[in-house]
Amino acid sequence: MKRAGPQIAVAELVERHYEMLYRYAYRLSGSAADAEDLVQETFVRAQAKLGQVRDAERVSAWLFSILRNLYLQRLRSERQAVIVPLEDVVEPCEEPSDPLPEIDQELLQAALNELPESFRTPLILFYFDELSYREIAEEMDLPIGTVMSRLARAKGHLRARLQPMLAGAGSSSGKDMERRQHNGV
Amino acid sequence: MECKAAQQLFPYYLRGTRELEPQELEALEAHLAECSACSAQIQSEMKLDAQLGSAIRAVIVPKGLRERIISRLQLRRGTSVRRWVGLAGALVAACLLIAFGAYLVSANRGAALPPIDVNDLSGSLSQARTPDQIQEWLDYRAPGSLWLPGKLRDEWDFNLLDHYYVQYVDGHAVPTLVFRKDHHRTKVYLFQQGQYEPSSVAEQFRTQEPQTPWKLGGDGLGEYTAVVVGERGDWRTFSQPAR
Repeated sequence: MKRAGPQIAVAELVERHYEMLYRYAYRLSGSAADAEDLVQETFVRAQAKLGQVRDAERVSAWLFSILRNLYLQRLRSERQAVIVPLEDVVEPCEEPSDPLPEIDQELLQAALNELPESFRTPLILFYFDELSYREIAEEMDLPIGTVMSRLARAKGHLRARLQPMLAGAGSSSGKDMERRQHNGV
Repeated sequence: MECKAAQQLFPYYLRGTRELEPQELEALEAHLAECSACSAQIQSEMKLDAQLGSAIRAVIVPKGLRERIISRLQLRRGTSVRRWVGLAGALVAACLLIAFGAYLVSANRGAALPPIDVNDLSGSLSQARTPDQIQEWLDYRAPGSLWLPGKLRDEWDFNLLDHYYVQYVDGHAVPTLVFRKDHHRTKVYLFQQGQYEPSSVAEQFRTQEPQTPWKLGGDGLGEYTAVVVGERGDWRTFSQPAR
């Protein structure tokens, strides 16, 4: 286990992880304003707890965990809130470095928003490819089989919603995949 | 390896083989080489993952986000340091004052004591997140062009200010203050009128005033708009004058 602790500077953490955290927060919250707020707050919390980091290889998981906890706290506190949809006018302003994929981004985010958080989170973490199945399971405090089952169902949902854009991919249904994973994992 | 056993390993294989044991990987790849059905299935799943993964990761990161994060972290650290320095200074001043008072009492028993300026003493206890500090922050970011509205400065309880940052709305820098009370959170966006006012905000004024959003008006420095985002009815609790 690598020791990290004080030798990790918060600026270095920001440099290495802010983009990935922002993308994760955006997909989780569906809002550019909330995503920025969550990322900033994540680093504030991380700065305060930097001394607790014991394993440099798990810093990503640690930051994802802080951000998700913040998101869940806000979700709980805002569940009954009347929110002015100001975020609708917030637009990211950096030109993309790579051409965007063919999948319609609005439709994709809408499909993600339709998923319960407990399904959306493992899906996003899976595609961000930063955490192993075991780490995702630990982060969500779930058995690994449950994580994989939710992942398969979430993929099935996206596949169904985005089908016209997913030409030729994933011909087997989400339920087929889920059944396979239930059987053996 | 049977098809069923191979399919159970597919989810791990989709992670780029790193979650499979070498012998599992070897057996699975041998099976895929000879089973066209499983091979077609895993190819299809890999293509789906490539498409979805690419699309999900394709979130455009706002320009200047890294700088805003660093700026907020530095501000927070500076505030914290100032708070401790201020507190330490106040304690030292208080100790000196007590010692000096004791000396006067013992040396000039019965003589009139010099008046103590309590306001001066308490003023040295610097409080974090005062309206003035927020104004300093605005001045630092954009000298002379951003200010804290007088009504907000006077009527909102800044003890409830949780954090503040600059948010980009259509490419315009918009100072944003986040107040927190118990589990409630209220965001105040400060739009400088004449510089920028999103049409959607104007529309909300017409339909939802006076509850939310809340238009503050002008204060001699110019017109401005504060948009209060929070729970209907609850945001008023944030605007109670500090006691």
